[in-house]
Amino acid sequence: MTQHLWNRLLEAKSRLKPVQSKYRVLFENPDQPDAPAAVLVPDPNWMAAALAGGILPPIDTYLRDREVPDGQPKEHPYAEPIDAMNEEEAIEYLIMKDIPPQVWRDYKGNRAILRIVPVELIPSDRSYRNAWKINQLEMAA
Amino acid sequence: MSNLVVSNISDGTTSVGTGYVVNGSAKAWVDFGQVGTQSINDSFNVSSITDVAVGRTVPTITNAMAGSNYHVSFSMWDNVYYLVVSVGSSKTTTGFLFATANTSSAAEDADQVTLAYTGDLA
Repeated sequence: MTQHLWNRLLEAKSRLKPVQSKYRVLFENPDQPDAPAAVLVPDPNWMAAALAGGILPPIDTYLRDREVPDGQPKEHPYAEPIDAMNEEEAIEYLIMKDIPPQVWRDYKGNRAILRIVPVELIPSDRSYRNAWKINQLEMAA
Repeated sequence: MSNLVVSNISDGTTSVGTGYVVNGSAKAWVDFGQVGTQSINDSFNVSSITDVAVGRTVPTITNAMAGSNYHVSFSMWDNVYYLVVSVGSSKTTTGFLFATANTSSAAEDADQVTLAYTGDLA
């Protein structure tokens, strides 16, 4: 019998060393055109579980669970865990799990609204944080 | 992993139902910084945080909660006093917008934020 996801995470945290990702995911939500670009930061313990394998459920269980109303049984805690991913695959999984589908699946416009970047490219100076947008000129280069 | 199935836990004098212990323990927690490049210091059952603006962060958990009426407790640290503008606008079973502001109610980043979730898991 497959252990509940929460128990697998508990066991994983006791034995895996956290892994700080080299990447961040920059994105703009087309449903909020006036909002600044958002920056997704992968969790180090989650990344360690993704790289180890045998802990996280298939991504399609999360996508189906998005449609499940509150209080109804969800699929992802009880699904068979998947094998180990490399860091790039883990980031792609995380994009589908934690970023709204209108960003990574539904958007048909010409503007680049999603970009995986090395962490060094994220400005540490937050003076103009609420005006951040993804640089379209650099994307074209 | 083996399971210990008991209905009560006792220290010899006082006993408590294991349901109180299980249901009352945190199901997820995260410690992160908003200043500079946002980063997660440590966590449990969290998959990411998303920096959406000054003083605005969306933490997302790995194992969802059963419903969106779970409890979130928090602490913050910085050189100024903060108040929380909201824990809960657009609250879902996996996340919510966490907002910090200074005493003038202007959005501001905190050096360190710690959140803990209690409630039922999915």
